Amino acid sequence: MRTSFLSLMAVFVSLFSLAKNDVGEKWVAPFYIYESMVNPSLIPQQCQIEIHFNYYGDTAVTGRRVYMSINGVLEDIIINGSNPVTFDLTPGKYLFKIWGGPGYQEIISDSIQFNPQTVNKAMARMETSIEPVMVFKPVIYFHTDQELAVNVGVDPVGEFTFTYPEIGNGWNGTLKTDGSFVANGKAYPYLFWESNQQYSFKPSDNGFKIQRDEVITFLEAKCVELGFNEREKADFITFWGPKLSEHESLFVQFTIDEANNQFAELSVSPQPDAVKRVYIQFTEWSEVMESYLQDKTFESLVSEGFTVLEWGGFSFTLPEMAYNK
Amino acid sequence: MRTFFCIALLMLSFSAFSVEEEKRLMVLPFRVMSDTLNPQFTNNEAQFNMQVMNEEFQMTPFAVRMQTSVNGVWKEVVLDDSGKFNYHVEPGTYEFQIYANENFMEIKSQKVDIRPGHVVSVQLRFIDNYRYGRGMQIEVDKPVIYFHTSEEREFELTVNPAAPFSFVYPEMNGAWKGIAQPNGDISVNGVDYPYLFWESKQEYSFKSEGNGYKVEKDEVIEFLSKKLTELGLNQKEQADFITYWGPKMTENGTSFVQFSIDENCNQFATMNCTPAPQSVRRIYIQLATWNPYFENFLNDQEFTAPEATDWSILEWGGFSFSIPDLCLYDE
Repeated sequence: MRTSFLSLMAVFVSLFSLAKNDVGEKWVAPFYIYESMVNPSLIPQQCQIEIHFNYYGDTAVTGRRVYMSINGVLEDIIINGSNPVTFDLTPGKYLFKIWGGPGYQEIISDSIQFNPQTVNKAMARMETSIEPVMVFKPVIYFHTDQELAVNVGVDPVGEFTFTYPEIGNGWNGTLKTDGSFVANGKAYPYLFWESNQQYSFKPSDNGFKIQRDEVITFLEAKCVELGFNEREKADFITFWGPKLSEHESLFVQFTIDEANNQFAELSVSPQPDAVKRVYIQFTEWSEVMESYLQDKTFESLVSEGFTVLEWGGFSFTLPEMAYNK
Repeated sequence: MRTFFCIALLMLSFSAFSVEEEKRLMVLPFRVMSDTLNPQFTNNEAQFNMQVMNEEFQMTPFAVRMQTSVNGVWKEVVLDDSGKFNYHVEPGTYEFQIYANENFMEIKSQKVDIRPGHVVSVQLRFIDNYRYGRGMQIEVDKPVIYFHTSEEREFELTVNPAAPFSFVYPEMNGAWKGIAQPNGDISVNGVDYPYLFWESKQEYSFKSEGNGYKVEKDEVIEFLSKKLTELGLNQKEQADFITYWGPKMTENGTSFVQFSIDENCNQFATMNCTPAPQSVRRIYIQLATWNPYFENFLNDQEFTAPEATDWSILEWGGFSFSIPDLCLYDE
């Protein structure tokens, strides 16, 4: 018992010292009181807190929804321009949890004492969230009507964790008309890579709410729209289906083609006639994703000449607050 | 980036402090306590006296039976009231395996020498998975089934997993019915699939399969390619296998790997196909992060591929499991 307590202490101490060193002097707490004044016109059982919401790198914040709780009581706030939001409270200790919605970090304050008849101004800095994700199983398939020597390069934003066959300085080999990639005397049905990356939720032009029992039908429909052949469809569904099915209800979105350069750049020479890149992203359903729902029918990969299909994806998480609504 | 450092630091601090904690968990599963001469024995006799230390196996209302192997020959032993049993043997070198039941990890000894007329006393301590709350629930991941056929063939295939399915593809109503094609495609309800797929969440406790390998992160692809070639997988099947299990092994750093082969896979699921295939190859890979506990289970076995036939099935799947972080030592 004592050991684990000690080790926890040590961890906290190291966390603090590290946080300071790492960010140097520029570091600013995400939530802090920058002014506290006595206002005699307030009654002794009253105090006020004005919260200014500062969206990092973004000034136009009118209409944005903020999810917030004060001592565990949820408040639903729509921001009106740069105006602060004022709360009337009874003097005492308060703990604030603030979340700017998908894509933002959750802020959790200390428990702060507010004295009678004071007006307190607080700043909440809404920084974009960064979450480590494993970009799973991007696989690259080729379709060609003639045998072709190719060079394929992948430049992921993070580090490779696995490639197959081993990528070295790029995959160099010969494509057969059955789609296989031949290198060093071995035929591979596809090229494979995985990478650890940082992710912050960004809405796409599509977003779907899916129940567990619709997973297969939904994925089949999307694969068909996107022009996957039967082998590609089975690989996609047997990989993602079980992961999606772990949730009762989900939010799913896809990023398509160039939008996936945020995860990795793909280069193929000779230049293919068409490339389709499909990354699926999903999270357990929360009402906060409601505003990101957008039905969309995708364009299919053409089926002539020399074409490339890549698919991959990952799951991401939302703060616990997203599920308290 | 900051988060990453914090996590790394967190782990460092925990590992630094947890040495003390771990000592309390440390047990030597197979421990030789004494070696004495019994004047009543002839020179052709010797005996191992085994004492199971776990209270669960002492003073039980029913006689406790365990599966044990002496130099690879399996037989059942019955424990007495106080958890004892013995092996009356000829002098020589012995290696034991003892499997209590699905709640305990199997014990395997190192090689133990016994001299003429001697009695060696051994304490056995089984590691209970429940106590540590880990390593029990596993997901039998991604068993995929491929057919190889010389001609178009109608089939009906049932799979009975030890626990309910968590996912199947394509949909199966009691059985998959379809047509296997010579190019490997499987037509079910007019749609072609490259393989049939199922998954199931099951309970597991480590049990030796007779083969065992220690594989470093940078040997993963080479190791899997070699084993899968021995086992008879074609290149497409190997790519499917390696791209699924390779990343999981790499994540472990150093892995312990063993394979359940053919009938040994019945513990996870039985399979029934009509018409009956001329050969069936089943491979379930089992992975864990390396732990010294596995040292005695290393056995570099070479596999042989089944002979090519006109109608055969290949199935592969597997799972990751974990065992308590034990550091084995002699008290």
